[in-house]
Amino acid sequence: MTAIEAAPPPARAGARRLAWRQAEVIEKVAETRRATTLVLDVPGWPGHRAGQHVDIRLTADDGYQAQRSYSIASPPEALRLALTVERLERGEVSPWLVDEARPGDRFELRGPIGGYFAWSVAAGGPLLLVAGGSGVAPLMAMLRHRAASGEAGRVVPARLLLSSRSFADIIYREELERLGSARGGPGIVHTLTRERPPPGWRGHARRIDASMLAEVGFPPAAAPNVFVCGPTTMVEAVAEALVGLGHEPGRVKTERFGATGGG
Amino acid sequence: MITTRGFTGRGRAKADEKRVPPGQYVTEDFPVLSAGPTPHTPLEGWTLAVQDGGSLVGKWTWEEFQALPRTELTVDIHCVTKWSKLGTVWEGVAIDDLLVAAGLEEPPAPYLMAHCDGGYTTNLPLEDLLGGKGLVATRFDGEPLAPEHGGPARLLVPHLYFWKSAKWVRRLRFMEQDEPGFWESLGYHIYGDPWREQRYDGD
Amino acid sequence: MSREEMCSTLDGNAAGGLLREVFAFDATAARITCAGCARMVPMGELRLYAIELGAILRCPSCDEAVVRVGRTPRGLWLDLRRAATVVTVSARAP
Repeated sequence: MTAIEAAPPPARAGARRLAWRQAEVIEKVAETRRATTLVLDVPGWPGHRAGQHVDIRLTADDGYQAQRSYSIASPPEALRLALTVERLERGEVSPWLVDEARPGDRFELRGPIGGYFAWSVAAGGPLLLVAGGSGVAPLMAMLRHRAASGEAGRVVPARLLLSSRSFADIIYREELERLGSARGGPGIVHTLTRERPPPGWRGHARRIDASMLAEVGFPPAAAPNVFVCGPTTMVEAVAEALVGLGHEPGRVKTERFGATGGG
Repeated sequence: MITTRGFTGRGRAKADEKRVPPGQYVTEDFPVLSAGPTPHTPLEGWTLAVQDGGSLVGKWTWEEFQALPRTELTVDIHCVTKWSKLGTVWEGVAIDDLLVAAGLEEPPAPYLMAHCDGGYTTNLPLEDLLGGKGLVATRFDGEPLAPEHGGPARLLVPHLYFWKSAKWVRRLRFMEQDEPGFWESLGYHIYGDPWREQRYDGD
Repeated sequence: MSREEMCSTLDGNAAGGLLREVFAFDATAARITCAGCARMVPMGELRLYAIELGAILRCPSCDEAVVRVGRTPRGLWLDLRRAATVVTVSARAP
């Protein structure tokens, strides 16, 4: 490497040491049959931006440790941290979080992490959010932050396109409906990819493709800030389609949701 | 260090200390750990080469390689990430037979670097490959080796940590001095003996 | 074989915590130039492999291992030889 050009290091979260802290489970909220939200108390939490994530670490009695990353689903304005976790088939950590964890349980957590995939109202819009499954978690933090920002949030046009396996698998379905129907609320569009939609369904029923993005998204001329989060094949297909439609690659931020170490 | 109530981790069977190296747990799975995307070299284009200095002392196409003497091995394998898999069945060409096929009575140098599709490398002493200790394996569990597990051919050196069993091997290069390969240059042990728990540099 | 089995399922964002240990600032938004093909991308867009051993971050265009990190109990080993430059971002919101 021949050179590093450096602006002064970011004043906010960047310069602070990333230490492991203790998180305590306060509440669990079952979102769908596979996904659960854990509401956590993290003493000394330094604050975060919507879109950022945390690393958590579980330690067994014999000292065995497992570490995973989870997006923060709560907005910076919330008093407590919320993580929405999907139980993975052959997972090691997600089954503990979803099935076993109970109020009072403690584990280690560090963050916030990730300046790339983060948004705040000050960054402006329009804001286009495209999510696959549990990839909606960091984007929900963005919508919750927008909603908590009053008029400053309402003036930022925002749309969410959420792809889910089935109606029953739509995470945050009721809250998204409430957000969407509020004054100045975001546009919410759903698509289902595996099971047949229920009668009266007004959303889409196929994988996200270029024509859906052209229909649902803001035109490239509006220069939206775009955030795409979900499984890697979906993220790549969506990012490619958006760039193909004319969106500037630098404005399309992607985060691939995979098992960060086997589930 | 606080422990997490009710967390035990992946089903980790209590291991027989004589059979399983220290710090390892036994798994029925075969986890895939890769440093890069899975290469897909078509068999028509595949060759394996043995290199000494500036010259290739042996080179085989897939057909030629398949015609070399075959060895089957049933061995335990141990990954530095702490899983061990017992009684795995492999088939391939022993390094001993490869050197004979290359016309080498003696290895021309004491060390070897394995070079692989995708750029992965790992270093080994020859004495850890000869005497049946190392194979170029093309079959696992009675089937052709799957690409995500190193197919069409990988190195198999089961008495060392499994990062030394380099996937997608294409060239074996003799070296006078031991030099660190891909993981060895990132803090992993230059030799990697699981029985002495040599996971990292300095262990 | 599906694309998911061939390629990385994660990107530099998932290595964010590790990169914080290496760089002492959030590096996912920092832009890095691949020494192989000169493509410049934010580190969050690099393809991530081998998170169990450290992090291997590869160029999305040419698969060059631009950032290689080995995690050991005694510290992190960093190889940036295939990164030509790294440009950090200022505190201004993007």
